[in-house]
Amino acid sequence: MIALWFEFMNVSDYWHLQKLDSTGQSRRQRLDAAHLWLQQQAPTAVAENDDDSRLLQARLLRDWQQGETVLALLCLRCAVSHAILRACFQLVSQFGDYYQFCSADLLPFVLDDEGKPLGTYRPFGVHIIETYTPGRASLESWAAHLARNHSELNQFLIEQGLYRVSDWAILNDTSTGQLPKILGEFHRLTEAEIAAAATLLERYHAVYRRDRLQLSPGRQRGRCQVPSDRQLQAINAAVPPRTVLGQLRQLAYWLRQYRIHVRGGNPLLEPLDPQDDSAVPASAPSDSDLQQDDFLQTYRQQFDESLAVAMTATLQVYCDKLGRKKLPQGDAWLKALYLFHCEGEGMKAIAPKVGLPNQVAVTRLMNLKRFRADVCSALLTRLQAQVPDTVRQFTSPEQLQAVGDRLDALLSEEVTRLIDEAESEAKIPHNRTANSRFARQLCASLHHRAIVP
Amino acid sequence: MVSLLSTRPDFSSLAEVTVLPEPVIEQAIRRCQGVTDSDAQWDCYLRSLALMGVRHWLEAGSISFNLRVPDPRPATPTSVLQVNGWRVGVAIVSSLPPGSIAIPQLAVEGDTIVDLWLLVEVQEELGQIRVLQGLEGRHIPTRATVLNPAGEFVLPLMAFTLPPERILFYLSHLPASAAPADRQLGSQTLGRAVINAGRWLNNQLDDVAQQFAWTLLDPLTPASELRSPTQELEAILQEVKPPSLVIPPRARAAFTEVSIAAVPLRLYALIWSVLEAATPEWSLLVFLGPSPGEMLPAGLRLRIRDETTVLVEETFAAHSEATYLYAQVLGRWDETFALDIFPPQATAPLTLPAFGFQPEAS
Repeated sequence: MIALWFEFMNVSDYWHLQKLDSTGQSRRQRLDAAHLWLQQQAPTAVAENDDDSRLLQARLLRDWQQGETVLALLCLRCAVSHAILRACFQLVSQFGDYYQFCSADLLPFVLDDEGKPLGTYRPFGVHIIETYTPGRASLESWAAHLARNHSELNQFLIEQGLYRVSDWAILNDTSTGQLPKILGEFHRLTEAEIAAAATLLERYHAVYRRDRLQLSPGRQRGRCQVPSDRQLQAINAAVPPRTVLGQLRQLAYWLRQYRIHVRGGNPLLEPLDPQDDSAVPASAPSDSDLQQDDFLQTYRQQFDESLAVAMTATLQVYCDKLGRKKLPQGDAWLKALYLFHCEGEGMKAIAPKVGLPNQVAVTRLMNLKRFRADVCSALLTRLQAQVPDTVRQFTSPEQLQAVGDRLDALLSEEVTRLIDEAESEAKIPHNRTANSRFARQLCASLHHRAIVP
Repeated sequence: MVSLLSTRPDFSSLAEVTVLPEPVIEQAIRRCQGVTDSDAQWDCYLRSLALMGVRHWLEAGSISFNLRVPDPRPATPTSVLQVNGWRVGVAIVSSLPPGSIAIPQLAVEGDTIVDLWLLVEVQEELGQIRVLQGLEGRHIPTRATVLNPAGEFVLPLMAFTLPPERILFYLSHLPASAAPADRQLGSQTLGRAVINAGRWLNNQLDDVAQQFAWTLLDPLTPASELRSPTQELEAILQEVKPPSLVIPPRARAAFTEVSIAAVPLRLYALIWSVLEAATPEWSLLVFLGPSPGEMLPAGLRLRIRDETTVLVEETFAAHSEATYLYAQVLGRWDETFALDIFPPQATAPLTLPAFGFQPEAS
């Protein structure tokens, strides 16, 4: 539904510019010069106030590309500012809550057109229009695409824990051999178009990959930047750098759509919900389950004792590691662990208390899945050491896996519940948290370390 | 379609990544400096990042591993990291995820086999990796869909089923030599993986069918309210079934999803026993159709063969009015049928496990 809405612009968008006000919010400003000019040039389009302005847009693009007038460009800049704004609102509505950002965080990066005559500074909206090739995608989609791809905006989102791979990284990761499949079978481009894309990509690799793989001391590699004019020239000296840039962006756009398609069908590659994966599916008891029950029954006593030892030892190793690196996270990690397990607080609530921007950062800091896996591993090592003969009966891969599954289930039962609750920001009563063996032992071990306030 | 897709923002979370320090990245670059071909060099670089990233990932927890770092030669698909005696290889998922993973036969059956394969996502521009899933080397021949002409086993990404926590568990608690006890499974088993469709009659899916994500459908009933896969199959039957074909009520069906040329497709198989002849026979009827909202690509081919002969082959013509491809074969209960699906213009098929019919087997 949003998709359809995105496709069309109201005609009045062509003489209203979306600008930032002093509070960082957007404001729709009427540009009389643009309105007057449009009334003269396209009186019918202006009068009809149609929802579908594609004919008008096509004409403006044609006028501008033929170098006719700066006013045609100004109208397009107005239209594009609306598309940029909508792209930002969409990001906020989709991710803003979880990753904790709002439109005022994003807009300054991309909504920078004041509607003034072009000088040395080129607003982002002008870049969008300059790199747009009519035909394959709408100008609105192109604007949304480039806005989401904006380098500084992306850098901001990375700091919030949200990553959008850049066009340049996608081009680096694509081999020319993949193009017939992606451009031909998926996008239905012609042989000639595919051949031209292959040549472009080969040239791009020869320049951009080469520069990326340069070794120079002290250099910070970081995110891939937009190719420089020098690089664009080296890729193709026969046409202006801006044209090469547009061609590369278009190719990356096609590749990204394929990427979205492939990833959409593959749950392995869908990591956007980092907290939903701790559940161990309940299943009917099998023979090996029953065998594990015997196993666990036999060692119930050792189990509790071993869990305590494993927990304390694992905590110690983690603290040593964090301490050795002199990382300030050490204290934050223990505190977050304590708040989460012993106070039943959600990750969002924990974030400010340990000096982190959002719950993604807390998830990353706590690294709970790994911690649980490590406790589980230490526990099993301990059990193996204590009861070597009997455990040896369980050391076929399948049996050990089954035992491991069971341990996982024990360890994750309450954590799963906690995580679920954390998502809805519910506070969990203290007595309920302590029902889980894992949490109970963890809290006991933390108390023992005297980190509890 | 293009403009609709473009509104999906394409972001991923950075909550569970392993960050590589700059010197490690430089080491990876140095390791691949001698490779001249651009694509091969980039592949070498991503593999080096993945191998070193796995090392960092292992060292991030509290368990200590006995690690032997890879030699400094350029990384190849058979390069390994030695972890507690396990030889661990990596399969790369870059920003353009592959539809399938190709693993050299040499690394599965040669002198220096790889014990465990990790599917590693490499985010090159951030210098980060993420271990997605793993697969024991001994399972490769049975999970591969085809052994391609380049001598590589080709596996779908979903063939990798060990979650990261389980990988840690294997590496720290299992001796590498214990795992490959039944390594006699060689390439000869490829294409020999057989789904016993006869068990469908007893309302059961065997292990092979489960491994390849087949779903057993309810018995066909003339009327019900919801549009389940069963209903969809009934609709297909209405559309394409020749009048001469009678499907008995005892027939059972199952379906699975396959992806051909990036188009998601549904494959339905209907089986039933045929008891009219002197020797009991069985019938296999196969439909290949698009997932909802998709279309079959023109030039797609569906082929059924027995051990020696191609029995039937159907091609989806451009501008065809039909929505589905289908084919039917009949055989004795001890006969098995293999199914190949060829993407348009392709010579190498996607080969699925063959179908057999042993209703009494358990």
